[in-house]
Amino acid sequence: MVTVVFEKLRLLRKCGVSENDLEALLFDLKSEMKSEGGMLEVEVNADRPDLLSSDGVARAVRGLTGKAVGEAKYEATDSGYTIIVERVVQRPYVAAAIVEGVKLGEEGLRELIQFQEKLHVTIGRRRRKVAIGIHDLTKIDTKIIKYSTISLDYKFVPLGGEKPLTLSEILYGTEQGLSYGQISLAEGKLPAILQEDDQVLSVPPVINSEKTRLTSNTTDLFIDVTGTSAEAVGQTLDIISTNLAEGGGKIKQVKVIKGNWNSTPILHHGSVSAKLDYISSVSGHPYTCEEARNLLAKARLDSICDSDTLQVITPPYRIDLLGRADVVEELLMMEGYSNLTPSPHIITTTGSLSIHTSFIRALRDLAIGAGFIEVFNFVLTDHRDFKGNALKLTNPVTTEVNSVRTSLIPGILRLLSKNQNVGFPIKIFEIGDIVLRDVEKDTGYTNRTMMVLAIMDSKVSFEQLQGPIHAIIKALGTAPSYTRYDNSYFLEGRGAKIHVDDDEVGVIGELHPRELEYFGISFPVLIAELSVDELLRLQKGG
Amino acid sequence: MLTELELQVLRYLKERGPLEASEIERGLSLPRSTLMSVLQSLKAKGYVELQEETRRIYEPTDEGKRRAKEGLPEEKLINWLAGTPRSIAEAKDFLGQDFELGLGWSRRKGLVEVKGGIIYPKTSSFNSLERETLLSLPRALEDNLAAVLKGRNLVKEREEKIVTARAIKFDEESQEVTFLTPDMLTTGKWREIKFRPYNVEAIPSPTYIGRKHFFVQFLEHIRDVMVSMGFTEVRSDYVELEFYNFDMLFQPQDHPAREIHDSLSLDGVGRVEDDELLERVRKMHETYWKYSWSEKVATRVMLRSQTTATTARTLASRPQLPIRTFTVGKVFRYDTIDATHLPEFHQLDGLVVEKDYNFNQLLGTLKEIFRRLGVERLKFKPGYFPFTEPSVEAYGYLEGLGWVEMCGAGLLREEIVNSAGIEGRAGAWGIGLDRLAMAFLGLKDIRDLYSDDLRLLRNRRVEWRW
Repeated sequence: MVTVVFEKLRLLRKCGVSENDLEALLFDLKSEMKSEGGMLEVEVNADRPDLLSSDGVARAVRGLTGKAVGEAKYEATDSGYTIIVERVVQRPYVAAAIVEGVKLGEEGLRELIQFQEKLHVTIGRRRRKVAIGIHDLTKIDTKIIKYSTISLDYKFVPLGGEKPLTLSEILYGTEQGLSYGQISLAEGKLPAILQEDDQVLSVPPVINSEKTRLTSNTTDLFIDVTGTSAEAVGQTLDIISTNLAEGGGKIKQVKVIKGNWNSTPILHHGSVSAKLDYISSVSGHPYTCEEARNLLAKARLDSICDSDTLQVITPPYRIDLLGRADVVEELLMMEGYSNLTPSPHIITTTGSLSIHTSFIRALRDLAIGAGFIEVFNFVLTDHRDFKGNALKLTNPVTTEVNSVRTSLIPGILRLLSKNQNVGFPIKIFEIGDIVLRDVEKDTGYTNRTMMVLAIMDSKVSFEQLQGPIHAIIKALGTAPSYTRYDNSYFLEGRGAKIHVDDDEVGVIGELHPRELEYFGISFPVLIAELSVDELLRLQKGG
Repeated sequence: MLTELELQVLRYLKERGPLEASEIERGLSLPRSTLMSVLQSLKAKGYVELQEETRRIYEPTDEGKRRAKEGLPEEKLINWLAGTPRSIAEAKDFLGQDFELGLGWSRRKGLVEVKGGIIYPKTSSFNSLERETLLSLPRALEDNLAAVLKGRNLVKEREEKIVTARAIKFDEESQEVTFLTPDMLTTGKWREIKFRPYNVEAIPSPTYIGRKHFFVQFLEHIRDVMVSMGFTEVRSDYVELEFYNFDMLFQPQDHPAREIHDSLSLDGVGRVEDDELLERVRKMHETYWKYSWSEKVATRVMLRSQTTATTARTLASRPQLPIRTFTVGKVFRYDTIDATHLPEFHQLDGLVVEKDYNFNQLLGTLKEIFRRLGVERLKFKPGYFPFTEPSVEAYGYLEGLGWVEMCGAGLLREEIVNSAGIEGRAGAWGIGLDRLAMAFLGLKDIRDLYSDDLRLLRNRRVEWRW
């Protein structure tokens, strides 16, 4: 989802509808709008780049209201301009178009630049895949344009600059240079769009030259699109050209020498077919071919009926119609989702919880019965609380949220340290997942479900916690036993491993003052951590 | 009404007669301050009479303490002589500083005679009254003895207030018994006893009972709703391969959501164990997105960003039709932490695969899910998700909040179902559970769902009606 901002009155005038109506119509086009003073903020989905300019929105809205149905067709004549394509390994594809007679004005200019930026962010994959340069045609001196590479010592006045700078200076000294300079840099050279006399028009995907700067008075545009995917480059230019033409501009073709196409914009038309049977089966509603064609005309799409098959002609401004499922969606959208008739849900299967969930519920009930309060801590944690033994994220969220927990204990201790004045005794428990490394799993890691119980009081005794745990494990129909376990977490002689038959199911102990001090806890704490997975395994009969 | 402690003290006085406070203190092991407040209370209620008097008592000075230990000078002299006459010179030698006092007091008390420089003892040993008295201090003393000891700088005096208590009333109430004992029951003695009434109207001090966490309860409720609709619960791990989180779900490898900025990752490289599935997915990508699909990218390890990854795993396991599964679990995203965003939260993902499942059925299922969650009004909006077509977003109407986004859903792209080798049509939906919980529980900040405030968890009203 990207957000585009349009001047409210201008958009409403183009669409020919009221604000309330526009809101409802956009809703049916997968969009949402918000009014901000004299502007409208519209959220556009990633699959509809044609809606990123006001003319594109107006084209779609006119179809929905019936003012203009069927494909919007645009004429294109030869411009007399040519673009010669040299080999640019790092950014091979280029397409160019001219659109004349565009009435920009202040708002039109702002919107055009916004259109370009939103396309950069979506199809353009932040300019890596596709980049667009828009120029004032009258400021280009030659009819032959070249696409090749230039070296870093090349000097020109970049857009917004006052004096000539070398490409190096631009790359390392300007905002655009720093953001986009490395994308297509190869062997000290960058791609460039040049006039026949080698004057730079733009250096994609970095920056244009000041020479061809657009103003609110500009009426004729030269548009270059470069990128690493021929399809994406072609589509992007198609969308820009057709949107500008929808606003009154005239598309002029540019001849392409040694490039991917003979002339651009391609104004690509494709075709997607769907059998009527398929459409009915998927939508749950039988459509006749005529019904379907009329609905699609509202979506500004032309289609042909061929016995039992609907063939949709995909226009240059729609890049999202790839398969038969897309045809069905378009039909249902034009029908209006609020007009569809949902079928009542029929239950024919018996549902069930996973055995894991059922077992956890039993453990929860037992712990509550023993008087413990359930807490719910985060999985993401700080490895410092784990003495480094947590699983570190390669891209930590903050300095404190940098790992995945490998035990529930530190989280409990953090919680206890924040609750030292709430009245004793404090008895808490948590059942949740930790993550550990596991070479047997296809990810190299595995979840483990653990249960932790803790008591904090002004004075604690081992049996205070061991008693309830013993009762809980016995309630599961298993018999627990204990062996002494000294480790750095527990006071010496006050830690134990918990066993059921020959299996180790957990640990229990009184926390060492060193640990209490680290967590800022001023009262003694008893803690136990059990493996729920192990206890469950023992339930199933080993 | 008398408290338990007041009754205890009153009974003690009745049994033993009037007592000094210090004696009651010792006998019942009560701290002085507690006892005094009990006595004052009993006095106010008319059960005891208190008398206060000031007594002069004596305690040893430092000199007195020393003499009590070592002996008085005259004792030292007499006990050293042990009946044998000795010269003054020898005595001086032995007693040192104590000679003057020792000889002086011995003569005064008629214990010795001195003739011609020789001391003749009249007794062979001597224990003074002064020393005996010193050892019995602190206490009151008769005036004469006090004067003697004071004169010799062996004692100092101080004033002490003595409180004496006497029980003056012992009525029915004070004869009431607190505890009903087994003995009373077996002997039948209970018939003769009156049991004191309790202050049953007083609010008790807090008792901490076991409590379930309200958000965990919400998640359990969601599970119950899905089970009631005929769905089977499935699960998968937090750490996932990009293959199941993205690739199998038709999301191209250059999609912005797959960049480092959006998912959380751990180090390591995984492996896809199903070669056939791997190849089918590769073909799916290369046919539709027209790029070179990389196994290396697909086997990168990440924390799952959506529970649809569990749906992908379910499909990959190639279960028999009809498939009706759901999962409730944690997902992770790289996000700034604020009132509506956390890097970890919960989602529900549902999946239906049947031979001819259609869009109207999907809408019907969604309506039923939300109806069971208490959301009667639902509206559908076209949406876009990489893995569904047609797609839909559902908005539910909540009192006080208006239309709130509830879930995203759609029919899974047939390419995905085919790549798993399943013949059938699939519908899937995902619900953001944290946001739903916030709407239902009236919370404005997502962090409140994970509150670590024990006071809140102890006192929060229990959610039993969803």
